[in-house]
Amino acid sequence: MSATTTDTSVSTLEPTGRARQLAAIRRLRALRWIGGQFFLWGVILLGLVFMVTPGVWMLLASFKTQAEISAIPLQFWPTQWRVNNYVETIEVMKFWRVFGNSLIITSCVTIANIFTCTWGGYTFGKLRWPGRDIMFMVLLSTMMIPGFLTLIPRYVLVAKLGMLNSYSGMIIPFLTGTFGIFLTKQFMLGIPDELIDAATVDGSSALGVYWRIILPLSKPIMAVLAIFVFDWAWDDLLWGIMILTDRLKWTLPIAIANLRVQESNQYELQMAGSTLAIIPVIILFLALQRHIVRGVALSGLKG
Amino acid sequence: MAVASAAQTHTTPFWRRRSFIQAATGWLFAAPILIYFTIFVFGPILASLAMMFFKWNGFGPLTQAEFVGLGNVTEVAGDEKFLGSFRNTFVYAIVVVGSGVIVGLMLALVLNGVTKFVGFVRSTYYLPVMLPMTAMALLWGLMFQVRYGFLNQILSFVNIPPVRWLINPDIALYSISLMVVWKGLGWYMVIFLAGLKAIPEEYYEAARVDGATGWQRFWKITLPLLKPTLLFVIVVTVIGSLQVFSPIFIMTQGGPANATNVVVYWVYMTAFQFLRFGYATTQAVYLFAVILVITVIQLRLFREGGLTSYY
Repeated sequence: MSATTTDTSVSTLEPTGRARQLAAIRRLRALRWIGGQFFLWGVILLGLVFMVTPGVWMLLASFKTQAEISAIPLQFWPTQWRVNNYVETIEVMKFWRVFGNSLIITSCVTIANIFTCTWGGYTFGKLRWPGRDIMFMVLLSTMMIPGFLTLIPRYVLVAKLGMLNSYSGMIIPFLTGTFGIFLTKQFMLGIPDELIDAATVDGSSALGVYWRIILPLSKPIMAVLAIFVFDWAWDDLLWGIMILTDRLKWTLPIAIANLRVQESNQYELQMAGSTLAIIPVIILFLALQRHIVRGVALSGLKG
Repeated sequence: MAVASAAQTHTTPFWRRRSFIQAATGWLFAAPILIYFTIFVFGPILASLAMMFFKWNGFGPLTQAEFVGLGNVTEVAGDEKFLGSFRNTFVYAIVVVGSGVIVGLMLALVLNGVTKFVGFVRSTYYLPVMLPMTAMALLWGLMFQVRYGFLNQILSFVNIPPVRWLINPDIALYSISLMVVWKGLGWYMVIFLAGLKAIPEEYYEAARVDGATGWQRFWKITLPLLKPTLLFVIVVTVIGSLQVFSPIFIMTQGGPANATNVVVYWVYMTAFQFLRFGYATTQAVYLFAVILVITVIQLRLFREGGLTSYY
């Protein structure tokens, strides 16, 4: 009897007890989730501040006076926005000249790579010919060879070819790249052979297939290639200071590096020059950021 | 009929045959690439190996180069300045890659735990990766100023005495590393994040059902499954870091007291300032040999035992 009474008392209590318990667990979980998200966002925001602050500071400094940049205590905002810094920097750096050189060289290298790498990807990925895989392995092995190993012989070669102080000396040694060929070859595995066979049956030559099928279908990988080659070529300093000794042939990185020597005490000019140098990259980034991040993940995983 | 067609293919001249056309097309397509690589990659590699044995100022005719045998090689082995640059290069690479991998992975894990604004956050972290190193080196050089530099002024808010970032030989290399890690962090993060997204959610659910803690899930699931990504990231960034040039050239020129003198900077100086092309090439070959050994070790380490022993 007593057992049954306790039984009933428990059974009458149980539903509300369990419900309360469940509610408590749910509340705890929600709290923990909120706490977790709070922590994660705290870390993310801290990181964002760390990533963005130097750039913001550079932009602000480019409008300040020398005294404001080196003021103690820190002066974050310029008292007056001195656009004149830019006018002066453009003159000191011979900016338009240098910018034009960089643009010509980088564009040529980028466009060349788009075509040569897809060409290579097609040759080693889609065409069938004896010796293909061995030749590809030979090419791939050069990925293990860092650029600096051949730096000096390449310089000597370019000098002997009479390409010092010329655009061609900056372009011709960089017309193609193993990694780009490798990347496009991987990409082309996704292009169905049937498409190519059908075109061949219709009388297309290998060249026609490359032009009419491979190129149009390779647009996504071409975008990725273009971004990385552009970004890399735009930032090249070492090869530039070796090849280009004539000031009028200088590229942007050389002119920027030179600002530190030539205008060692004019911080506002250094910052204005740096800001000018990153503008094209920022534009490229904003326009293509989706491709960029996806491209990094892609090349990272496939490489 | 069958006999007739067989006879016909037999009489077809070889240049009309399908197999020949395919082979010819392939080689014809490959020819420009192979020729280009011979001129600009394989040729220079052989030239590097040959130049090791010569003394040459880089400007006279090649025939005037003086054969010195193993002279350059023995000199490199005892060259304090070069060996110092060698040490610095490796310290730099270890610091940059180590902190890049650890912080980048932590950030990726954090970002993997949220669902909103992921695209925006990822892009913002990635932005410095795209920005030109030359401009960023100039900027950080200014931020590292001792008296009124941005960083020291921020530190003074929390009463930390000024740090002599680029002037103190003991920390100059680490200051440059800090800047490089800042610039590269987004790259590590994006790649790790892609690697994390590729791990099936079921694994974590199964582990959760089995009562595994978050820490256990990280060590038993995340890390093992991230192994290929880790391998890729480490191999690529080690090779890249060992070739550092721009930030050194702009921020310190190898100083103070050779504390930030790195191999590629020194190879450049040896060739173009001291006009010792043969000796500079020998230094480059030396670094390459070591990189090769390290890469092979890394690949082995990841394949068996070592980091994967928890598998």
